Amino acid sequence: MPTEVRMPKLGMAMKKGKVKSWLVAEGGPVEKGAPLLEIMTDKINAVVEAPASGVLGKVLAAANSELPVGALLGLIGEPGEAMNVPEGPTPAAASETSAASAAPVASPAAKETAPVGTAAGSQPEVLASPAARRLARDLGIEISRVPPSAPGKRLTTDDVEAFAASAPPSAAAAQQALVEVPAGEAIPFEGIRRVVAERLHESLQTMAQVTVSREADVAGLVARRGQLAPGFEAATGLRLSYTDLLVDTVARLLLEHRMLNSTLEDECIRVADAVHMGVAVALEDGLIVPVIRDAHTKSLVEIARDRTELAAKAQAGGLGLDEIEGGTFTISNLGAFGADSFTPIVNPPQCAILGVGRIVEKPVVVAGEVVVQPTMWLSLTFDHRLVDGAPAARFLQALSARLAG
Amino acid sequence: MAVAVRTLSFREAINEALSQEMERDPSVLLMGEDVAGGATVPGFDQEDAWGGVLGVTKGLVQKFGRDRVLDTPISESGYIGAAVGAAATGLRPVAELMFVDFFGVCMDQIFNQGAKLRYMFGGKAKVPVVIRTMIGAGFRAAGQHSGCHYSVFTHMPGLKTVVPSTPADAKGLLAAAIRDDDPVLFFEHKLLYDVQGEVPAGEHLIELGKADIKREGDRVTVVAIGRMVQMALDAAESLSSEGVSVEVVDPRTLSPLDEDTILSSVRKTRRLVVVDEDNPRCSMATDLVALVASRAFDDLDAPPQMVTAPHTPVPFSPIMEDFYVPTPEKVAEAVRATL
Repeated sequence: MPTEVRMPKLGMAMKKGKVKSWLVAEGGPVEKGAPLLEIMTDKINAVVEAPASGVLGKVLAAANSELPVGALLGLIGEPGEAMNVPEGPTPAAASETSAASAAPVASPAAKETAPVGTAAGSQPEVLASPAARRLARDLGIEISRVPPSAPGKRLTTDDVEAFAASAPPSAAAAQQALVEVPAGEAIPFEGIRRVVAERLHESLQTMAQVTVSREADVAGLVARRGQLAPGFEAATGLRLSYTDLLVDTVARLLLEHRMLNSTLEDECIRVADAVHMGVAVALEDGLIVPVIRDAHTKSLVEIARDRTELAAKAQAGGLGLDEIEGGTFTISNLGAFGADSFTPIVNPPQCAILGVGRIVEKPVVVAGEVVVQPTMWLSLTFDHRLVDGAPAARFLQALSARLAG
Repeated sequence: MAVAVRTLSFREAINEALSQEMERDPSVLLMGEDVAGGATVPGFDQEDAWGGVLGVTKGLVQKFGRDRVLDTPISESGYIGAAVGAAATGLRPVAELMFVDFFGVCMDQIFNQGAKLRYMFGGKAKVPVVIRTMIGAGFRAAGQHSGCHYSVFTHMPGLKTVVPSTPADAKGLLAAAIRDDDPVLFFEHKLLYDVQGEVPAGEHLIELGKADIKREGDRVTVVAIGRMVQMALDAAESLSSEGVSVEVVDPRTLSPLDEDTILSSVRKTRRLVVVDEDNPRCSMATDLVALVASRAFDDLDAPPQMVTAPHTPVPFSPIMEDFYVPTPEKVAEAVRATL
């Protein structure tokens, strides 16, 4: 009896995943627990481990096919064992109506006769009219990316035209469409880059975002780090960063400015009880925001440890879905890169994001005297649908006061 | 100078075509059962002749005399054979096979003689015969007088087949059929005889093998034959209120078939519905779908649909006969199925 490999559920909100690539070819040996295939959700990439040892007898979901959670991806069995695809719908197909249209898996009978070794590289099956296929071919659009007008409905040229109008042209289409293609590398617009793009675009399209800024005296912040860092680092082995101190300060301050720690739902504004602080981490090919849970109750040591671990995981591509979901507020610190000030974009469905710049010593007039002071630009972008300008400015005022003293 | 146009019935348009062609060419003659009518009834010879069972040839015997409007015995094999022979020897006979359902008794004359002579004699013989025949259900005339069967004749090489849908087309196509040097089967739907339409008064010729777009549209192509053109136009009208733009193509002649007009329409709309009152197996409907599937496959956005009579003889029960014939509602349903 072959062992089934199914689309895993990596987070509460995960409904479907995309097969990125198989790490073992059909017919190849697999060992229980060894990496078998890579999948992508709209948030992360993950490696699926083999649930059994033997050979990968059958690949049922080709690379790039998007399938609901629970969909059958492949079968592992003994060498030479018959790989009969189980009859009946998959658990996911039975419970989700969209599964039928989303599942590019061929019918059992059709797959039985397919030659071994072709499935991994073949296109997923898509219900599309001949004219739609030809148009997609002509436009350089992969037909499997075109959504049908209704679940299970055959794709027509209308669907392809609508997709072509909405989607940016693929690299292949751009090559065809332009008489002269400017020299340069064509980077596929996919994976984390595409997710970042869609999130940020959605954010700007759906919210009424306003940014308020002020330059803050951060003498207190600098003094606090100078005071704590040596002992902290000796005791914990962790570097104490300004970001850690900002997370600590902002998380506690948000308890007094609760509207900035809220989320807009369909019929209400949900004001969060806890502060789950997102901290933006720059990656080589994108941006990810791991979440420090219950930051308002955590000690500085716990915050620094969480942040360090999450940042390392983010760089290694190893964040779990539960480590990037559920944030209530975000801090984005570009100070390390020398930026003074910028207008961050809110991370939906949150209400606000704080952008911080570098710390610079400046001559400042205090009580008629010119003194040298460390200063930092703070920029708070908030959703004006939920919060107005005055409370947002008051939050920056309060934050400045805490960072100064 | 503008051509004078009057409103005539389909019946009158055919009568006018026959009359004008007989005037123009003395070799044109009519033959069939009761095409004059009343000739052998005692005491009836001075009366107005019947002019065929449904009066299509009325008045022609008075005009052209009994030498050119011949009542024949009830022997289709005999007079259809005589018409084929007369055509092969220089006349242009127009024979009337009263109901197409009677083709079984004269098929050898049509299929094995008329259709093949020109081919078998290397083009040295020609057979310029026209066989007019009535088709169609809806006349409460039961299974032996109500079929369409033009698909049977279209199947046979050597025959031309014409199915007009309007009075003007009937006149122009019949005149062209009479002047054609090959055997032409000319199918007249009984329920069209009283349909009125504008018809050019003088010489009016429509080239065989040219389809006509009866209504322009860009969403779905409906190819309809004979009386079904009206069903398609009614469906198109009701669908236009749903925002669906239907193009109605009338092939007018099934052999030769105007493939280009049909294909270019489908290439525009990407969808095909065929409406055919004939039975569905080995039919014009299947033939048109095959044409489009093989020649315009990559242009299709939906599987072609067929609206046809069922695979049965025409029933006598009025309720069942009404169910048998495609309706505008069934056409509209098929159009929606392609969207």
